[in-house]
Amino acid sequence: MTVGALAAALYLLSSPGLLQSQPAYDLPIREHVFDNGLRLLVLERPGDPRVVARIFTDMGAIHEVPGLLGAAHFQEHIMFKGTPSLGTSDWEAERPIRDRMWEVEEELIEERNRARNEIRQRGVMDDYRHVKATPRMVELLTELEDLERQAAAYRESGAMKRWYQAFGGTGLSATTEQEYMKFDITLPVERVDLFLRIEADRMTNTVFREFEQERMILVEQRFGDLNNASTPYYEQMNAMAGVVHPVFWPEGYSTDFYEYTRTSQRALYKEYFVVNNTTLVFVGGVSLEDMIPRVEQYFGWMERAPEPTRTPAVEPPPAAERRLIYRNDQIEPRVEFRYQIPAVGHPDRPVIDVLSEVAAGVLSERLGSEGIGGIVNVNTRVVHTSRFGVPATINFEVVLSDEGQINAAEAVMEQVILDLKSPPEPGRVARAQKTLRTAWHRTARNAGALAFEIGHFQTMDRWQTLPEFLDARDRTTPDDIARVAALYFVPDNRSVGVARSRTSRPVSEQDR
Amino acid sequence: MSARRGLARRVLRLTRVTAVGLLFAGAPASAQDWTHPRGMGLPNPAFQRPDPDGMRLELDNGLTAYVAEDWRAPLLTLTAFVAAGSAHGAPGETDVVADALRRGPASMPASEFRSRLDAMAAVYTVTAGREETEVTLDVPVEDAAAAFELFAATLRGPRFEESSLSRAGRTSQQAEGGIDWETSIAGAIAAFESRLYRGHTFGRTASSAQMDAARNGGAAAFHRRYFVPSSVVLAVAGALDAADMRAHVTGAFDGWRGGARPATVTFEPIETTAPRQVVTAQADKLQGWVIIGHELPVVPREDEAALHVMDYILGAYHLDSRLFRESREKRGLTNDNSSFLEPGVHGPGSYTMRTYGRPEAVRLLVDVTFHELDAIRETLPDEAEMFVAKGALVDGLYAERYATGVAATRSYAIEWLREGDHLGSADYPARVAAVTAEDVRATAQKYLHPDRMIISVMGPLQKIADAPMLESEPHLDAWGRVERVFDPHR
Repeated sequence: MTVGALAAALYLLSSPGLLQSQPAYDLPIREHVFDNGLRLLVLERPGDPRVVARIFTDMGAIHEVPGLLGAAHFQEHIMFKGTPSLGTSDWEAERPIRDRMWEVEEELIEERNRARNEIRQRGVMDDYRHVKATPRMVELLTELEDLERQAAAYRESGAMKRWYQAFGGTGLSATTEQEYMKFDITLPVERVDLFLRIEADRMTNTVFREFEQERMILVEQRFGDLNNASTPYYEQMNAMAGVVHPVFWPEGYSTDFYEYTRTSQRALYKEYFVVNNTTLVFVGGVSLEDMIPRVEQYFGWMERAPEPTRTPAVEPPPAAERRLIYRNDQIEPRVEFRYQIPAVGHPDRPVIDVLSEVAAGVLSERLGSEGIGGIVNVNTRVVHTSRFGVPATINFEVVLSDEGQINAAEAVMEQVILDLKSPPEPGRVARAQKTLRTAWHRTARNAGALAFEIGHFQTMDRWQTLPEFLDARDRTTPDDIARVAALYFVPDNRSVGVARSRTSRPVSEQDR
Repeated sequence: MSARRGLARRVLRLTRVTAVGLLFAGAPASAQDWTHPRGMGLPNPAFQRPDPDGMRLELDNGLTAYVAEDWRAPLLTLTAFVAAGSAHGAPGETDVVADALRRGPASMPASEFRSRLDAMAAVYTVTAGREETEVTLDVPVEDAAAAFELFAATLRGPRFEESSLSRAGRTSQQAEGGIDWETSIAGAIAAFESRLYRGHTFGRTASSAQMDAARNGGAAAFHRRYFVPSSVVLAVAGALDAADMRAHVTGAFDGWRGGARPATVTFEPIETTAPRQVVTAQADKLQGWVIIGHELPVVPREDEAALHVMDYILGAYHLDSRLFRESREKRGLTNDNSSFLEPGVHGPGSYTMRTYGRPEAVRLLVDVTFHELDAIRETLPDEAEMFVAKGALVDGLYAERYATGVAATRSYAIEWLREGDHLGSADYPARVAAVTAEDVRATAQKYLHPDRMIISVMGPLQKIADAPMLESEPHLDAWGRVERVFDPHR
């Protein structure tokens, strides 16, 4: 028996819970798919006085186009602005103003296109504008502003949020990531109909109110991201690690925010916010049998729409190692390796979760023993999310306090990743599995987090993948880790990022 | 101040809200049923909070625990609330105690403690506040026995040896975890508190000599005095039989002996004084952060419900307050503008409005915030606002505090530590229901004093000053004497 195997055996003996065959993931998810394509998923917790409700739309940032990045996120903001029955004091008076806004904007878009077609972008590193404001554009913009002012007389800001909260709603939020948009609320079980009433209305009748104000909120949120000096570094790494797939694109540039129009947003809304592209998730004190007729009442009348477009982008196989040198005095020095990995639904993906945990521990220990130190992050995050239904990356990062240690840290990281191609100690794998299992149980304890995972897996792949995914992590062996490491951690699949200060560069870089 | 935000318009708008509510309440349902939520006939929740007495366990040594089963996941959560914080004892002592608690029991090296936590996949946190300290250990139930033992050993005798802590945290609450002062609102809060608590017990920071004294026996003595069974209330919840958890609590803590609970200290009040003052700190960032507020005295129970209703309407951290609507929804100035009601336990707390935005928005954010402070002091909230706030506080926030085993034990433990009973939470729904619009206005007048607030602004100060006027907002110096600080902690 090897020392490692002995350690693993001892570890298992000291942890009686692990001696049971396989941990049971208590995920009694129940499904009903309505005739119009709407999917209902319920995880019943009898006796729970509250219910978490989520509505997922299979649409996110990967459905955006360059120049309009962030449009999916913007659509989420606009969908808080109410409907003809929520958010106005007099829809009959407001409607003709809104109708006129569509006409004015249509003319504005045509005028802008005409102006834009007369002049192309010539500048790259300056602020040379590739569109000019014509006198007619100014007139139309002024009219739009005036119409918005008129419409504001009927505005009841925040109505969709107000009535959720009035009836005991908590955890009110919404999220847009690369592959999904969702709206969230937790309600007393007796009042779950409120969720159905508001979300059915939001999905079919959103009025694009407070459009300009919300455009500036996106600017504010983007500024918030950019206040963190490491944001541009990570965006550069994403851009290098992936060649074509929109999963690697950022949340939008400030120039993009000014390109959103009601018309472009309506196109997203009409195509994707349809009943057959929607999943409702409930976790709490409701039953599937109870929910089916309630959902039918509010969503049953909706007709199945044409199947929404999916991004046709396919990330080509990586064919060369890439290296980023990011010079900046505001962020800590760091070195990072990224490798493209398969998506959720692929059998190797759960193994990569276990591998990540193992690698983080080994890398921390090795850096410590070499006297390098640093903060180790091993993750699969791109922008915010850690898992995808499309290929993404695994990221090995060491943040250092001493820039002079960058080369040494890179060497250690390379060796650690090389070593992963040999089976790691079983005890180390078992500990990683326990960490992942416990983290999952913390997720499951939180009904909101659990509902999110159910809906997220549905939009990434299918909800049935979730329990399979969790079981597969527990079945992962040291040999699986070695096989996966050997398959994916090859030089041609590697993107290396180095962040260092501008003021302290190695001699070899000083003249570049 | 612009006429648009004037009183007459506000009354008109609020009247319309009510009228529409009635209109939709009476509207017939169409094929697609868009009945207004107030007209849906949504039933009242049947939820009642669980009986706290049935959860309580009192040991002979004076330690109290609240124990509840929670079967949502195979986990166990142990939390200790201790009636001791940085305002007790000498400066630095709580920092050293918290550091010792983070390094585990005296009986083992900190590295072994960390290894044991890792083996359990535990989450372990220590949070030292001004008046209380909280220690939490969350583990898989399979490790319950070891967790109880480790938790009790640490609480009873933390590892003071090998402490490397050389300087007290900026405040005790912020000592844990790194805070990037220039990229978050934390810097503006620190600048605000440096002025609010200047000269007060809550504003003390430890000198090097005081840190040395704390490390060389002061903190250990502090621990012996304040970390006694009768000063500790536990919250224990997890996927175990309650009887088993009670047995674990008894086994782990029954042998703990300590002195009497130290007498409750009532800390001196604090009162900011007119005129207003402006504190600014430079940060070369894309946005500026703003804190506006003043002290909050100890709130008697008879004022609590009205204060909560008033705060909810004004700005309590949610997405439909007056501050949020006026700043974000209607003007697009900021991602958030909210109020934070942070009462002390036996001493003063603070009441602040917090927001942030691009440089050209900052001055208007200050102006809008003061306008809303004036409005809630001068006018009565309308029926819809009262309905929303009461529903949110009772059917939402209150219900969540007792909805699960983990949440209920935590809430009851805090109540017992602070009040020694649960009367305040028992009649909270009734007290909220009884609040009137007049109560809200009177409470605003009693607890909000715009004329003597501290305004803390951190950000690109020159850009904020040079930004063109968006409405009729004044420059920052119109609000009070400006004092520029470079280190918010100085």
